[in-house]
Amino acid sequence: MKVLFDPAPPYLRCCVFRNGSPSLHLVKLQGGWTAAILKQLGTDAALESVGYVLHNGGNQVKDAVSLLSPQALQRVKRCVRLSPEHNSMTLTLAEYGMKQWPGARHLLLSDTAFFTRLSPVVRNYAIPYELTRKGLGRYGAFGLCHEWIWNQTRAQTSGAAKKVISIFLGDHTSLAAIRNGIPKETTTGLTALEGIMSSGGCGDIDPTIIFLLKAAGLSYSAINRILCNESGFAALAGKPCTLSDIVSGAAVPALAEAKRLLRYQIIKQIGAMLSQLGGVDAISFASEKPQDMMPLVLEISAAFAFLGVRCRADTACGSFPQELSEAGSAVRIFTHQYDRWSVLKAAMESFESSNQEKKT
Amino acid sequence: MNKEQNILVFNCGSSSLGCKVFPSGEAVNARPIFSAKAHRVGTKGSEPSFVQYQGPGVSQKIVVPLPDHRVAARHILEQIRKSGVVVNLIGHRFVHGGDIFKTAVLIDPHVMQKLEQCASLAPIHNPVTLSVIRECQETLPGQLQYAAFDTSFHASIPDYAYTYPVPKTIRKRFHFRKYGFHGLSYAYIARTAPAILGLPLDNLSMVVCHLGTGGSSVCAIRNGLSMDNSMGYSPLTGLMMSTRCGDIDPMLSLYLMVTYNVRPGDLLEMLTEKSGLLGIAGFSSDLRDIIQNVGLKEKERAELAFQMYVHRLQKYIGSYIAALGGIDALVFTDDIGVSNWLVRENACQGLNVFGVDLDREANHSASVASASLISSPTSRVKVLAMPTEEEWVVAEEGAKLTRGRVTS
Repeated sequence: MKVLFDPAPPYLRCCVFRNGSPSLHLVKLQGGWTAAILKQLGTDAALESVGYVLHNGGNQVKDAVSLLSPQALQRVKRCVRLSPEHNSMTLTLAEYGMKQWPGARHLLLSDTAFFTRLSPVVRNYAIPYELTRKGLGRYGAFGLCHEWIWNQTRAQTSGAAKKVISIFLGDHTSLAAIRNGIPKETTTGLTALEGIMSSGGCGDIDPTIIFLLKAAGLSYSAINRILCNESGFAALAGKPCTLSDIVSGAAVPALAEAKRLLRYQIIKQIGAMLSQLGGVDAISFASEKPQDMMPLVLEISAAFAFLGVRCRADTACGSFPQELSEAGSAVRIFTHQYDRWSVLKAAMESFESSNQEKKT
Repeated sequence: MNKEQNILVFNCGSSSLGCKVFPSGEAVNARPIFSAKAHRVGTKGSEPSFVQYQGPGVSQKIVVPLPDHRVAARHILEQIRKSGVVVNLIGHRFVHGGDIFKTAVLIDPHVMQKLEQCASLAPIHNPVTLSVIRECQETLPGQLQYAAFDTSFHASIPDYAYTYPVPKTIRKRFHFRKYGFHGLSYAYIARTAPAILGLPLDNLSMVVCHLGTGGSSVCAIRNGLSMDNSMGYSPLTGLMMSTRCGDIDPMLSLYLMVTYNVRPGDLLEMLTEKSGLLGIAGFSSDLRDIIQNVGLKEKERAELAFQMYVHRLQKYIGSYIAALGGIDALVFTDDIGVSNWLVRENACQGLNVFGVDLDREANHSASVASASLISSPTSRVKVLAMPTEEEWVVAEEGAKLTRGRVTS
């Protein structure tokens, strides 16, 4: 049995793999949440490995998957301030899990490790350098996903694709420019708030608003809530909604407006990534609901017709992964079915098997 | 306009003060009869500040301490008086008119109050422009003055590009949206570049990079209209600038306030006056200084500052080319844009995918005084380096504004 913990405040998402089959549990973080976990897992001696997702490992955690040790826990501790809500939950869980299941293997899965290879030119903000020395920089986010998209694209092109733009379409969309497996740019920054707007996050905005809100008497936590939870799709639609709602909501003016804005943001970011890669072999879209995203993917791809991107007409349905580009297209376009739990589990297993090989 | 008049135009950059006097009759003559530019105003750098003058019988560089823009304006007004040039009307480039000013306006006490309300919208520019207006009021009492706004040109930016996705109540209360800046410069390029390039204005897509010694931005222009601009609600965002940070994670500000207990006022000052090139290089906010020190061990961060500057510029050019669905022309303008071949050469690397092919020799030898085509003959996108003329656009606005009013 394997278990994965992924913080999603105010919930904890927990996926249990028994004989390879996943079962997902959502635990509300309130009094007695540890009991709720125990109810799911008990002190099961069959527990082989436990994975803990760390959302922001800053410049402390450089491996996508690593074995948790007391030293590693210290590094996690140092990262808590970067994403207090998520990272403190990872720390609490890891400390709890290591005590509760001493016989299991405890692994840390870092969503920023992939981007520790970004060059300083990309990683730094243009702020006083002393702050960079203190560890403030663009750490990126969703690295496990983007690395997976890169690997999938390589597999689909039989290794021919050297320059890839990976795009995760979801309630928190992000992009990465990848050359030969090395990230060259990404849309997220110090936190996942930077970049494309999300279901509740504002994305790139003029930060002057923070000073105006503060001067108007709002507390820091209220400003944080507004920018992270009440902006993005929720602000444009006037109610909480998902990317699927927006993509399928053309008849509703507010949703159509949100879609126009989102599409524009993505197109601009693809342009920025193209300038960094000096061209691209493949653009790969991944989503948990790729069929729902197809209209958006085709509209975005059509915006690059001026570069010779051509998509097939018969893309209405099909299995995934799927190539959308025509044979003569200057850039190959792919869509992928993304399942976060499977990707996380595969990352754990890959680490375990390579460690096993090292031992033998 | 009833009779000929001379229009004096002041243009406050964040670290410079430009000034030109245009004779104006039926139309504004494009050739000024007097011009001055104060350099390194209020900057921290290794070189001294100075004013370069060009007028009737005058062509000189005066090295003088210029601690602020008001002192620079006083110096310039005194030189104009000495040169014997008569001034009938004074125009000011005003960076941010917010929601209050959509077009140029004559300045009276009521308008002055409204302009003062806009001061905080562009904390580096608006207050210094106000100080120059006050200096003119004091030195030339009773002289008619007006303001022309950078934000006017960007009124055509579509909603999907100007909307910030924060709650509607906040957008409404703070008039929080992208306004865009350097509009007077872009208006000049949009009007004049098509003829220089031999391309029709209709159906012409351009990305224009206004690279100043203080502030810089990039603009997407289609058919002469602004479609997007890298600056936002304030001139803080977008490219990395001399002392401004450009784009940052909005959470970075909150993080510094909460985790490091930085006071909001101090933080805003840090992001506007101690960041950008100065923040990274540490020893200068001037790109010219930084380029000179690239490769020196004791100035090891000069290279990083330069590369970061170019990187962000490339990203904006790429993003606007994509937003426009391809472009016909890429234009570099203002001090750095026209005079710095190295910035242009580096910025164009990697843009071949968009059809940009720079002629390296033409780029090296481009004139700083006139427009130069610097793309190769086979380049799909024409690349141009050309001086901008914000002051002329301001003068034109003034001539329109005072048609029939100014008689002395």
